[in-house]
Parts: sequence; C-alpha cells; structure tokens
Amino acid sequence: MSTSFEVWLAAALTLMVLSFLWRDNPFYKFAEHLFVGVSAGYWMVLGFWTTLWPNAVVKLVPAAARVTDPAATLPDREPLVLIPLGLGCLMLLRLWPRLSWLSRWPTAFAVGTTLGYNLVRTLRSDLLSQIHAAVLPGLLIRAVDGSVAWGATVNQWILLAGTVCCLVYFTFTRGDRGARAPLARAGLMVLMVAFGASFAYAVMSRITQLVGRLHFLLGDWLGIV
Amino acid sequence: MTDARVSWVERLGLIDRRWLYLVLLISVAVAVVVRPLFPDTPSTFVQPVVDRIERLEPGSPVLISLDYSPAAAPEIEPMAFAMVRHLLMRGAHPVFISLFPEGSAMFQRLHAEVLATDFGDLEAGRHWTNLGYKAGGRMVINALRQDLSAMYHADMDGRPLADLPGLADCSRLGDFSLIVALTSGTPGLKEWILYGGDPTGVPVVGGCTGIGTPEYLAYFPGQLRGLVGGLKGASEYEAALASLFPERAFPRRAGRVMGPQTVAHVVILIFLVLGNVAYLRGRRREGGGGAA
Repeated sequence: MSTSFEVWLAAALTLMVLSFLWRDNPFYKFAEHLFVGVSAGYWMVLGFWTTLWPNAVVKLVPAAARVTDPAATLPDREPLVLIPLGLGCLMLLRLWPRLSWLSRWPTAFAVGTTLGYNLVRTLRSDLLSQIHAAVLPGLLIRAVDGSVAWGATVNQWILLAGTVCCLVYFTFTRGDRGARAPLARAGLMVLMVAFGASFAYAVMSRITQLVGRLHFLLGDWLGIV
Repeated sequence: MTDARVSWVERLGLIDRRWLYLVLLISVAVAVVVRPLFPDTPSTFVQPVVDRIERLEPGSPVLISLDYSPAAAPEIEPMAFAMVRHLLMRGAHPVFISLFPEGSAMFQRLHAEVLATDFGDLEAGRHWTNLGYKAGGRMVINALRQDLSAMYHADMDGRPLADLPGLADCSRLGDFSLIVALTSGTPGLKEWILYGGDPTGVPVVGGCTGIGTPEYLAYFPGQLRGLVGGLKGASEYEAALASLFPERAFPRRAGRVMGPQTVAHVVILIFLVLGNVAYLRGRRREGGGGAA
C-alpha cells in the first residue's frame, strides 16, 4: 500500500467520484466542485504562461523573456501585437453591460477571419475530397499483382450505396413515398448502424477510463497489481 | 401486470442498475488483477500505419503532434509509446510538437518511459527533437507550412533550430516524410489533415481515442493513410511491434488493458442480451403492444 500523501488524496477523490454510481452525495459534490475549481485555476495559469506571456508580454517587452529563461535570446519588439491585445481587452468588456456592445468588434473580427480562412480549405478537404473518396472506380485493383481486390470493391460499393441512401433520407423536398421510401428506410438503417458503432467506441473509451482508474487504485494505491 | 405473474426472466429487466455497475466493477477489477493477455493482430486501419513507418528511410524527419491531455492518456499513451519506439527502431527522426498546452507534460512522460528508458543512447537534437507547445491551433499548422522557424526558433532545451543536425534538411512542413497526429480533441487530427496533409501532400497517419475514431475514419484511406483507434488500435500496434522486434520485448501496456476491456465487453453484452430477452418476453405477454 502506498505511503504517498498525493496517492492517497488521488485515491480518495477517485472513490468520491465513483460514489456517484450509487447516487448523488456530498462526497461526489465536493470532488466535482474541487475538480472544476482546480481545472479553472490550472487553465488560467497555463494560459497566461504559455499564451499571453510569450505572445503578448514578451513581444512588447522583450526583456520579459529572461523572467522564465535567464539565458533566453531577446526577441525583437513587435508593437503590432497591441492590435490583437486591444481586441482581446474589448472582448472582456462583455462584463460591463454599458460597454458590452464593444465586444462585438473582436467577435466579428474572429468570426470573419475564421470563416474566410477556413471556407476554401474546408470545402476542398471536407466536401470535394470526401465526394472523390466516395466515388472511386467500380473495381479496385491491387497494385501488387493487378488482380481485383473483391473485398475492398464490395466494401466500396456498400459505402457508396449507404451514402446515397442517407442522402435520400435527408432530402425533405418530397415525402418518403414511392421508390424513395425503401431507399430512405435503408438510409435510416445505415445511420442507426453508424450511431451504434459510434456508441460502441464511446463505451470502449469509458471502460478504458475505468480500467485506468482501477489500475491506479489496485496498483499505485493498494499495491495489489 | 402484477408482480405475482412476473417470470424470473422478466425480473431481470427490473434489476436496479446499480447491481449491474457492481457486477461490471468486480469483473473488471478481477481482470485487472489477473492481467490476461489476448492475442491481437493489426486491423486494416492500423496495418497501413505500421507499413508506412516500416518503409521510412533512416533519418527521415517525422512530425509527431502530441495533441492530448492527461484525461485521454490511458488510451493515447500506449499508441504514442509504441509508434515512437517503432520510429526510433527504424532510425527515423521524430520531431515532437503539441497544439495542446498539456502536450509538454505528455512529452515528459513519453521521455521518461520511452526515450530515456529504451533509447537512452540516442541524443536530443540529433536523433529526436522536442519543439514543444505553441498556441494557435490550425494557425500554427498554417505557419509551419510556410516556415518552421516562423513558430519555433529553438527546441525546448534552447538550442537554435539551425544547430540541430536532425532538422538540417527540414525547414517547413512539406519537408517531413510523415505527420503523426495523436489526438484527443480539437485542434488535432482533423486540423492536421485539412491544413497539414491535404495542402502539402505529406502523408498523415493518426491515433485517437475510441470516441473520436468514427469521425476520423471518414478520411481513411485517401486523406488519412492509417488510424490507430482507441485502446484496441494501440493493442494491435503493440502486437505488430512485438512481431517485428521480438528481441526487444517492449512492454504491451494496451495489450494488458485490453484483457479487462474484453471482460467488460463480454459482461455488457450479456447484460444487453438478458435485458432484451426480458423486454421482449414482457412485451409479448402484454399482447405485442408498443414500448414496455
């Protein structure tokens, strides 16, 4: 069994969180609030020293680089940093109702630049490349010996048929009548299978977390493993 | 429906869910203690990653982005360790960066358990390089596409990039032979595909949590050349590494966790079957009506 105070503290907090499986209780509430508080503090400190300090303070006052690294080479001063810094300060004005309208300017800037920058890239990679990947040649040929890869070919056709059926299901211009009905139904089935696979992966992730915690409790804390 | 008429099968559907939690907890705990190790083989998603690293020339620079946090470490770390071991065994030059602030801490763990332990004779800057975390997400990737030194002037030990022999022929993202994105969220693998791999043509392979796997599979195999998904993928990669380098006997961290994971899956499947049998029996007795 561990003699480390940190390990005992972590084990106690782990058990407090797991106690929620029984029912909501004060121990779980304590651990939950502690986690939120510590996370907020951690992120604030991390954000200051890894983002605000090197990207704003050091670029405005190069000598500040020596605060974190006495041997650091001093960078050139970059007064243009004042612009994003100013926009960031305007964002904080949301806290004052009378001046909160000023926060719309940095928000508009962020939304506009992000949209403009990502639109073409997203269209190319997330739409055109995906369409291209879905409509590969009818027969997939192995590069090694030139034979037909029947497994991959059938897989490709199932994928294409599933994609078409899902698109039919989400086409609401006309109701699911006539020839469209079985296609829409098949599309719904494909979606259910996809959601089921996603949920199964989610369960696997959660079980991994559980196994990780049990490894900690039984190994690091109790020394059984 | 009265209690007197309820059969034992239907009673299964009335069990308090906390009993199920307890059974699952005990089953997994026993498996954690027993530590069963099941055989594993790489799937069609993992094998391309193994093959691509096998084909790398010695000295090839490979960008590894550690975009995960401690919460995802149980899933991502085993695959990160296995892939870095594989890269170093093949003589490639891993260059570590991170788009997550916690990435620096994740690198410290990787350094302690892999670089210092298994490859202590390799030299930082010559055989591997750690450039550390940069804020900015996709903008960092865009900047790296133009010029590596636009974002990084030195490695984490303060050595200027020009003094690092491992990066002598590497001035921008397009000079890398491979991008490996290990991801638990955003920014991560998707950003590396969209802003790194697609515009430069550098092949991208990835590793991610189980929850993220379905999202990234949409990019396989055209834009994403291989994917190590969740703990299962990590276990498959470890198995491949064990068969490639049987003399090294690297630890199979994910493989050991897959034992309890498999036990949990079996228990959940049994619960699913019993729950559905109880539900169907109840519905049939009520005359085949709608929901019970």
